[in-house]
Amino acid sequence: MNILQKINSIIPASSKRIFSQNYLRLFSSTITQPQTIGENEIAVPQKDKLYSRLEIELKGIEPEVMRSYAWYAQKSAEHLGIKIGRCYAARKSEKDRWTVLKSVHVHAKHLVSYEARTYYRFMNFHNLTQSTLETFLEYIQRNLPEGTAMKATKIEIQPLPEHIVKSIEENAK
Amino acid sequence: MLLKNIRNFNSSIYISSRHCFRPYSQGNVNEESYIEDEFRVLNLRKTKGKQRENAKKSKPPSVPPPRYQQMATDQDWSAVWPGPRSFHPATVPLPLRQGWVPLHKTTPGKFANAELMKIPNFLHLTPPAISKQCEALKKFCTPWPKILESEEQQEKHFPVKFISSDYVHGLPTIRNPLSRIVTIKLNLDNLQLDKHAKDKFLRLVGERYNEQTNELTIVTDRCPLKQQNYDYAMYLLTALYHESNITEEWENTKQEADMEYYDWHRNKSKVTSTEILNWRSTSDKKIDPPQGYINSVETLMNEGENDYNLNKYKEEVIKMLGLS
Repeated sequence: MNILQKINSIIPASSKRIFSQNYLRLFSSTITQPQTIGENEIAVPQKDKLYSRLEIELKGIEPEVMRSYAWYAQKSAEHLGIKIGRCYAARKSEKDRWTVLKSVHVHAKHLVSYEARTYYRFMNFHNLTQSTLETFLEYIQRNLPEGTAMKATKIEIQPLPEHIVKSIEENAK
Repeated sequence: MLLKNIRNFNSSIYISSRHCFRPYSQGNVNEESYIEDEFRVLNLRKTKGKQRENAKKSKPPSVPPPRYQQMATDQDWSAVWPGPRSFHPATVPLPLRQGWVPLHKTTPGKFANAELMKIPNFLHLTPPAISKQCEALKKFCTPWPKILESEEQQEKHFPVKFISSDYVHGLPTIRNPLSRIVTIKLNLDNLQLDKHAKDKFLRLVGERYNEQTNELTIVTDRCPLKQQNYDYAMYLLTALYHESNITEEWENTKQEADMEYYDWHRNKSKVTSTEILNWRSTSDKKIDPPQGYINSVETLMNEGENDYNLNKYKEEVIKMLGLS
């Protein structure tokens, strides 16, 4: 029998009927203790990694679109409390040019040139934690406009590996 | 009189029968013809094609005025334009003009403007929208530890730099083979190598060491995944460190030709200078060349000949031979 049918059978017809769309809510309870699935326990939260610098390189076909996007990225960094470093654009675009024959057959004297222009823009952000970086990057990347590609270079600072530290201490003795 | 009557009668018939209801006729159908109690009018002209043409010519739908005319100036714009969207002229309340035109012509307006529609707009990311979205995102961010504000502190506690890149592009795949490249940077002072270990380390490492910044850079890309390349780089670092601390037996067979710097004590200069100082001396006590002379010769050979080094050498030689 369905749970709803069971409820209806218990409650007498004279009393008010409680119709809840999510009937599971009536029977659920909040879980306050950590669940143990067999012998495994829920993993301990990991420590936040530290990034001394995040460099974003934008590659696009429209310099004005990239300019607006850079303004938006810097504004959102400001709001999230991220330190903004050097932000600049390449003065000239990179031009790929190739010259091919205009005609399918013969007429080598007549050629046509094609050109593809790629504009570059760079932004640097300093001193980010892993959570901040991931949040910021995801937000920025979801709003990346059409005709623009991004390369995000992350410089993570780490302590010396433990085994090397141990060896250094042993050698020092 | 009959003729007059007939004429009048005919005209009245003609006028009245224009407004006739003709369900199965193939003549011209007018709106007026749907009134009953009127006679039909025979129309022998070609009306079939025109009827079809008129049926095909659908009336343009009655469109309400553009929405922006009913917008308040203090409205919530992020509710009107919540996400990225092609430009819609009736929704955007701005009097925009876009397009190149030759001289003495007006720039085209926003309605039916393909240029405005093609270019990506940022109307969904206005300053209030950005601040709203960032406010919502703040709970996922953590602050940077205050101790690590300065670079020296960062270098002291976290000397290793792990550099990697991620790519965002509009392709069918999200994979980019360039993202497997990993760079590890480390200042060698952190490894606390002694003289022999540092010499061996630098020989093993070769071009990956920068003398000016005393920084080692390891770039790995031989594995297909970033994590694998990182593990390999750390393995290389460990192997280099341990290998440079070990002294092999064959290292003692180092010749003068293998020396990467000039050591006065291993060279002819020591022999000749002591010989000159102790020329035909019969006493057992041998005069050693002074440290100043040794240093001047070493700097000459290691750094090269320049005015300063040559002058220094001259002074030291004069001092040593007692000629001044």
